[in-house]
Amino acid sequence: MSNLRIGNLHPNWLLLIVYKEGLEMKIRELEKGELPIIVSFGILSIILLVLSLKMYMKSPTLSSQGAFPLLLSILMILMSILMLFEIRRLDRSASNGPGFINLLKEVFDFIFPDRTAFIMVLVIAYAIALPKVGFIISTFLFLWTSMVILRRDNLLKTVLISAGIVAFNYVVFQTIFKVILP
Amino acid sequence: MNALSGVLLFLTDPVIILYLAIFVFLGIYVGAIPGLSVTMAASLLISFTFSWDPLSALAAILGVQIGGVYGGSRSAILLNIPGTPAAVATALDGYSLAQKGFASQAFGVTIIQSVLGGFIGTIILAIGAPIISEFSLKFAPRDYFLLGIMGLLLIGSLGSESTARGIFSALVGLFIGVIGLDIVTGQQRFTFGNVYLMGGIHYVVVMLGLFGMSEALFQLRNLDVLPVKQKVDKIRPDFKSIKKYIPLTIRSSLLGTFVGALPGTGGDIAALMAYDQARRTTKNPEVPFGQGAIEGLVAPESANNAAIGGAYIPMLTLGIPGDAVTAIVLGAMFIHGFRPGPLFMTESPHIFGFMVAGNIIGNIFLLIFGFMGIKLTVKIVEIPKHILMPIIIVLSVVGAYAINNSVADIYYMMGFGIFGYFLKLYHFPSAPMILGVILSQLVEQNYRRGVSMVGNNLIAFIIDLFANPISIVLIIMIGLMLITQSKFWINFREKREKAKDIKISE
Repeated sequence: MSNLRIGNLHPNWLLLIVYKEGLEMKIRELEKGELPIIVSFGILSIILLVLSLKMYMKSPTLSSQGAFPLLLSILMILMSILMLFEIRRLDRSASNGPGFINLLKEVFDFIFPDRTAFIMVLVIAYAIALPKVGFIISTFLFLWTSMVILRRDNLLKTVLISAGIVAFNYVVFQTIFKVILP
Repeated sequence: MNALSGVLLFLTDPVIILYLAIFVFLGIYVGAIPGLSVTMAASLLISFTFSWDPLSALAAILGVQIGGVYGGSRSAILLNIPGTPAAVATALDGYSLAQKGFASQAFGVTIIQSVLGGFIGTIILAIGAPIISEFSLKFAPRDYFLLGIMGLLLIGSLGSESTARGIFSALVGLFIGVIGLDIVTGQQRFTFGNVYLMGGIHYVVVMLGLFGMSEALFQLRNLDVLPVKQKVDKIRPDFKSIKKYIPLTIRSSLLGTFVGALPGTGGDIAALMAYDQARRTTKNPEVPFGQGAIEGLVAPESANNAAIGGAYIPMLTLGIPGDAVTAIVLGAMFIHGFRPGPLFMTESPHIFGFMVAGNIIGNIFLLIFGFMGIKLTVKIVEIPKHILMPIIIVLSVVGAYAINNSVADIYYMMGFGIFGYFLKLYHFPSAPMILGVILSQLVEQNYRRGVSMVGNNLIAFIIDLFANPISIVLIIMIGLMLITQSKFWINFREKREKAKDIKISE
């Protein structure tokens, strides 16, 4: 939202849409991995089209259960094509070197800068641990390890903060919100 | 029961008033923390208030919305980071004022204007909703189908850099809404034999993933950005300026309510439009816009709070939410057994009265809390992200589990969280997706009813769309929206603007 050119707003509400012309699309570069993402959205749309078509063929009327999904998947494919056309205008961001492995590394660094990859792994580990060891232990471990990974603070301090948050959550949700914890 | 009994319901229950007060207060601080949005808070709150009595839950969500929309302006003024999208325009002049040492005055203006805007929006809601509701009874299924499409098109095109991406996101949302047992035939759709998917994916799970977890993951990308703070002591109300800017307040509030009432547009767009309107109509501002003009605070702040009342009009009378937060409130109302839509005003007028009363009382609380706790805000916006964001992830997990007490919901929420992270990274908006999930059933059922009423004949359906005054108006609106977004139109406008510039320079 920060790149909005507010001067482009038109007082007539029907034309207010025009203000999107001031958005960042024209200014920014093509993000690393953006093309594969849009292509995979396109492929997903085609798969959905095939599935919807199969469903539609079972009872081919406009009000059947397959008609609406069919319509949606056709529109999704159209939008994917439009998106591909749109990104043609964008400049490619500079690459640090040639080679496919280098490219993969650059895409990975863009998606998971700094320590975000660790947090993603932690989130997945948290999800797996949750039903096995229960809410209190898994949440405490998740909070504590993520705080330590994100900023190497004083260990004792992070232990206290994490334990405090778990205790606070436990009390608030059990008593005030009457929510059953996992 | 009538609307008045709903008002009394509110006034006579101290517990409900207490909940409203607490959540207006909390909303202000949630809104003030950059990275925590009102949408995030509202979606978390829905899942936590599942087991509450419906009216308390509604009061809580209403409170967070009123407080949060205002709260966004605090960090906009203090740090030049809008706490919520609705405060983007506020940052333009608010931060300049703060830099000049007038932060207290800026806070004073925003609080008063937010409350005034909130009142005006609510008054229009109280007057407008019954009228629209009566009118909405004339709507046929095809008109609801068109209205749903219009809402999705508006939110899809406005919130993102590319209309195609916005619409794609809305389509994905509609598709997610299709998953599960078909209501008409009872057959499974896209469940792939999975028992969990038979009941469909709950929209709160999608919300928590897209607005809770993915936001938190995304915020972790820039952990070390430390904003420059301003010194603030005490907020003072400036009665002289209230009187001076009253015409602008009324104008902006009316505009805000109107924009809010359009399906698909909410407080953020209302605030930007009001700011622009103020800039065009204020001939000689004491300070130029963008450098600390009071008008630049009055217009967006009154408009974004007025938009709350406006957004409730289509939500309550047509079942079509004005923006993402109202979409969440709509979801909450469904969960608690209320059915917003054309029959809402006749079936549950007391709930309508309850909502109006809640808006008014909520704004009174906003006025009270708005002048307090500025030192607390300064402290709260300083909470480091490496502590805050893991907490949001935990809250999203608790929220997802609370819906059905099912671990599967947690996994789906996390899936949507990671998916939402990728969407954000590659500039896809997530609000249209949520609106899509919530509107999916309404759009599909009305489409199916509409076509079966004309014998499943496509040509007859198209003729039917053009044979009815309401449908024609809606089609013209959708057509205009599509044309104004087309490349052809944008090029045409650019050429015209250039021609104007040349003329002026000559």
